[in-house]
Amino acid sequence: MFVAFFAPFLDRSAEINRIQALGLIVGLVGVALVVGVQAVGSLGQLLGALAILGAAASGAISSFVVKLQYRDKNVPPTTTTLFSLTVGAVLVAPFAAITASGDAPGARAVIAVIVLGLACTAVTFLLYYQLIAEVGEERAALGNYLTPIFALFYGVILLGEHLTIDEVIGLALIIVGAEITLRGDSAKRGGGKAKAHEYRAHPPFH
Amino acid sequence: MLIKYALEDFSPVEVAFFQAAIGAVGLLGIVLVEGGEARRAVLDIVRRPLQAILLGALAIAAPFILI
Repeated sequence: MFVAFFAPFLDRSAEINRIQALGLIVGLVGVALVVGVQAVGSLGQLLGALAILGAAASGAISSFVVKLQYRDKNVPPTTTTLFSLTVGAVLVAPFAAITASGDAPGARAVIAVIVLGLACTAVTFLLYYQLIAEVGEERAALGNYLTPIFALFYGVILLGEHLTIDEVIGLALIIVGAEITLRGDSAKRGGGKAKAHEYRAHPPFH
Repeated sequence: MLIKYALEDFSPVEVAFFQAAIGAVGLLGIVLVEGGEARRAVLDIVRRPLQAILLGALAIAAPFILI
């Protein structure tokens, strides 16, 4: 949604049509249900929700930077990811130093941050920037809608959490919203039925 | 789940820092092995530090700290 919101100001080629807007809204309602926005009841929870929105907006603007400053200048995704992580680490370092406990961490926590850094951050951003290079920022951002689905899946499989009816409805809305958005994208690109069939046969995010 | 384990001994911002720093070290290895275009692009990005700072702030620092 934020990519669509910022597109008219930052990159008009990424502007969406009405069908795509409908798909994004449907998907966003699904994400809200899965995340549990309806359960926000305190100032702390509201601030938490606003922080998530701020993070999403920041990420959306960064995808335009990737496209306009790096992809369009043929910088490989590996190099783009390397620099975004390096600069990000340098910027976060002072805050990390201030909040450091000073105690020696346990082995489980150390292994967890190593896996988080290599698999969940480096590989994830590498794939994301590769997606931006191949399909554009608006369709790459659509992949973010899948995050709550995987979060729920892992919660059920690994942590034994239970699915609620809101979450099931939310999951269905996310999938429907993504399909509507992809169909709208096919219409925008003028590919007609052949293009739509291509997306169904080879979904871009799998 | 991994974040939950990491938070047992690290602050949230420390986790964000280590995620980015360890990820950067891993990617540095990939870029060095890849060589060619990827390595040449490093020089191109170094010549344009403002864009790199903007990207690092928007893609990593702000979202990781906020979340």
